[in-house]
This record gives sequence, C-alpha cells and structure tokens, in this order.
Amino acid sequence: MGQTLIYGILNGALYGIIALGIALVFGVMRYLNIAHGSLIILGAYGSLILFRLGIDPFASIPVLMIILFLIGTILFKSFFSHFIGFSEGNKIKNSLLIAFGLMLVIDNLATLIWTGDERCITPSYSGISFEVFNVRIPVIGLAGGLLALILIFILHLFFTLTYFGKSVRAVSQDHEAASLMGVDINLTYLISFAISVSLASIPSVLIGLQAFSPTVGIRWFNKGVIVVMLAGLGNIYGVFTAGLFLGILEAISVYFFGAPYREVTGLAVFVLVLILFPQGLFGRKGG
Amino acid sequence: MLSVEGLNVHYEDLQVLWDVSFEVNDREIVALIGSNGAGKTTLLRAITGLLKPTSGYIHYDGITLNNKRPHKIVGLGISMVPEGRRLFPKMTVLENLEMGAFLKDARQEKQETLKLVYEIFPVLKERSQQLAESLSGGEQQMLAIGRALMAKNSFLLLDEMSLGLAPLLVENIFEIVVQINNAGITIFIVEQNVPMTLRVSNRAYVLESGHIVRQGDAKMLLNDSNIKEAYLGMSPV
Repeated sequence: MGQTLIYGILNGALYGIIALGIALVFGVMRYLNIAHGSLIILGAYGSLILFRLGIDPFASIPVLMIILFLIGTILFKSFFSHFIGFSEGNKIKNSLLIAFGLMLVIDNLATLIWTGDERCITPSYSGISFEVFNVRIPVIGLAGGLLALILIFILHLFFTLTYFGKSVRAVSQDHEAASLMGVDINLTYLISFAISVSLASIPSVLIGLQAFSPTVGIRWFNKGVIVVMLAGLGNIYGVFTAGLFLGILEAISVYFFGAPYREVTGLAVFVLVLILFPQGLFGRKGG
Repeated sequence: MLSVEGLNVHYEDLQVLWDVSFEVNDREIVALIGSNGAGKTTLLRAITGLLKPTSGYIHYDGITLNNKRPHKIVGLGISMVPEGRRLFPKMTVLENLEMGAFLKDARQEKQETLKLVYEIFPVLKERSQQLAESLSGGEQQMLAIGRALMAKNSFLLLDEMSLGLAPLLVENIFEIVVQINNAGITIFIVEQNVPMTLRVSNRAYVLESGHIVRQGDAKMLLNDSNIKEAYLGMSPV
C-alpha cells in the first residue's frame, strides 16, 4: 500500500504541475489552452534532442523553459491575442477552438518529424530507486516531486513578492481596475501566457523520461484540466493539492480495484466532486 | 487642466452622451450631478480610456486623451475611484494599496505615500493584512480612495462615492475629499447625492439623459429652485 501511495504522490505532483500551467492561463485570461498537453510533448521531443547532444534531461529544463517561453509569446501574439477583449464565454470558446487547431498542427508536425513511434529518454540513472521503509522510490520520480515543490515555492514568491506577480493576480481578479492602476493588461496577458507555456518544461522532461509519442498530449491535458476543475476554476493555489489528490486517488483505486479501473475511478470521483462541490474543492470564482 | 469638448459616446448602437463639454481647472472641485442612467459613469469611462468616444475631444494638460489606453492615461496624471470601488477582492488591503502605486514614479515613493494614506484612513492600517472583500462597505470605500491616492496623481475622478454608505460615513468621506483637495489635488466628482456634493464643490454641471443641461457655481445651483425640485425632492415654493 505504501508503495502505491508513493507512486500516487509522485504522479499527483506531475498532474499538479501540468494543471498549474492550464490554471494560470485560465485564471488570468479565461482561456482554455487545450494544446497545453501537446506543448508538453513538444518539449519532451526537445529534451530528447538535447539528450542526444549529451545534455542531461534535468539540465535541459532551463533551456526548455526559455525556448518554450519564446514559443509562448509567438503563439500568443500570432493566434491568441485577437480575442482577448471578448466576453468570458466567448473567450473560452474561441481559445478552445484556436488551441484545438494548434494541438492538431503540433501533433501532426511531431508525427511527420519523429514518426509515431513511442520514445523514452534513458539516462544512466533511469532504473535506480531508493529503498526506504520497505518502499521503493524511483530517483527520477523523487527528483520530479522535489522540482514540483521548488516550482510551487518560487511561483508563490513570484505572486506575492514581485510587483509583476501581484499585477498578474490583480488582472485575474479585475482587469479593468488593474488597468486603472497603470497596469498594461495586454502585456500582462502576453507574459502570463508565455509563463504558462514555459511551465510545460518540467512535465516535458518528466514525461520524456517515461514514455511519449506525438499524440499523447491530449491525455495529459485531460488529467490537468480535471485537476484544475477539482481545485476550482480560476484557483491557482489549490491546484497542486488537487493534483496530489487525484494521483493518490488513482493509486488507491489501482490497489483496491486493479489497474483497469484506474482512469474510471478518477473520473467517477471527479464527477462526484463537481456534483457535491460545484465550485471545486478549494474554489470560488477568481483567484 | 481637463477639458472635454463636444463629446459623443455610443454604447453599441445607443447614443449615451450628446455633445458634452465641460472643464475642470487646477485645484478645483467640480461636480457632475445627475440621476441614475444619465450617463455619468459612461463619461468617466470615456475620460479614463475604458470607452472610446465616437467624436469630440478630451484634453488633459494639453494632451489629447481620446485614443489612449487606460494605463497610459493613469500615467499622464488621472486617477479614478471607480463606481462600486472595484477593489481586488482576494488581495489584502496593503496589496490593494500597493497596486495603487504600480506606476514607476509612484512605486518609488510608496512607503511615504502609504504613511500618508494610513494617516487619513487609520482603519486601513489596522486591517492592512485583511482581504479586501472582508471589509465593510465604508472601509472598502476608504480603501478605494486610498488606493487611488497611492498613484500620486494630481487629478482625481470620484464615481458615486456615497453609494450604499451610511450618512455619517458619507459626511466623513466628503470631509476627506475636501482635505485631499486642500493638499493640491484637483477633483471631479460624479454623484447622485446632490446636497453634499454641491456643498463641497466650487462649480457643478448637471447631466440629464446624456446632455449637460445646467452649469454654474455650486452654491448658486444648490439654491436654485429647479435643482431643488428635481434632485433634492423639494416641492416648488
């Protein structure tokens, strides 16, 4: 059981980081970026390329962060900036539509370039685990979990101590009022979107170290968006905890019901939570 | 300082402001009174750049504001306390005030300005770590005004400050408005509460269904029988 829980926690941390990227964009500008999963897979391929050039996957994270940040700014300016002033409902619909198209383009480009074969990055420490109290913790998983915690901490500092971070929160709560304070909201949207895409760099590497192929992006997006909804749409802080919750829940269901029921249990509980707590577990409108 | 000429504003296909012209000079307190739906808030939104006028001009210190974006207009010297306060609900009192000092110049003087604001509104200092949404109506209004002051701008727009506030609190806030004006800040106040507003203002304009219908010295308007009938609920003598 302990073993299952550990895997649950590590998976949950991964879900949490994916969800963070989705939640950031949704919370600030009410865009649902369904291409987030594909961007993660794109990053995984990037990490693979760098690995073949001799760069350790974890070391490639900062590089990927910068590249993805730039990609994010280009994507926002080219495709996502045009409907930033629309009503909330229309923003969700339009962003979903554009991002879906983007997802198809990325997935198919990846298939063209790298074929549909499943890949995996295999550094020398791939199979190593620690053994603690009769429980085996894979090194990679542990590193991933630690990275997640560090990321959360840095983001927290960013949102509470820096002026730009505070302005992102202000824009997500009342963008007109924020502009009355002198905040350039279009610039804020651009940078928030770019940060969200750059946040995909960590799941990129963690998933790259497992297994990936061009079209699995959407599956990771699905996990992420379930976590976002569990936490409460627009809530950026509860997202990581909700990720852990889903991870542990799936792990427990595997333990009791067996592997085939893993996805089903997660989804069933998701529906149940939304029925009982329509605002999400920690949520209220606005973050 | 602020001069508006022949302003026409449409809200989608509906014309809301018709040929509106007025001016506010340095260090004045000028009022715009009118009933609900007259177009007062629309006018302020046009001045602050949240709305684009269809035609006409808005000049501030010689600069045309018409097509500038809101954050640029704040940078030019105009701050607004919006209708309904529009605080950042999940941010603390202190964070709201800090957001008020977002502009580069204001940020540098943040600590001093904060001290001043806490002197004017001591309750904000007490509640500095509380979330804005947990404050009472009066406290929220004070926070909204304090936040606008943090920008250190010399022109302040006040939109329906007294809405929803108890009379004693309203008196208190109007006194503070006079204080702020004495410190050198020009004020354009938009209100439904006519008597209080006219008492503290130098001059006033009356807006009815999107048209400026009267203007003049505030005390004179206060004693005008038509105004009394229309806005002060008094029957003609």
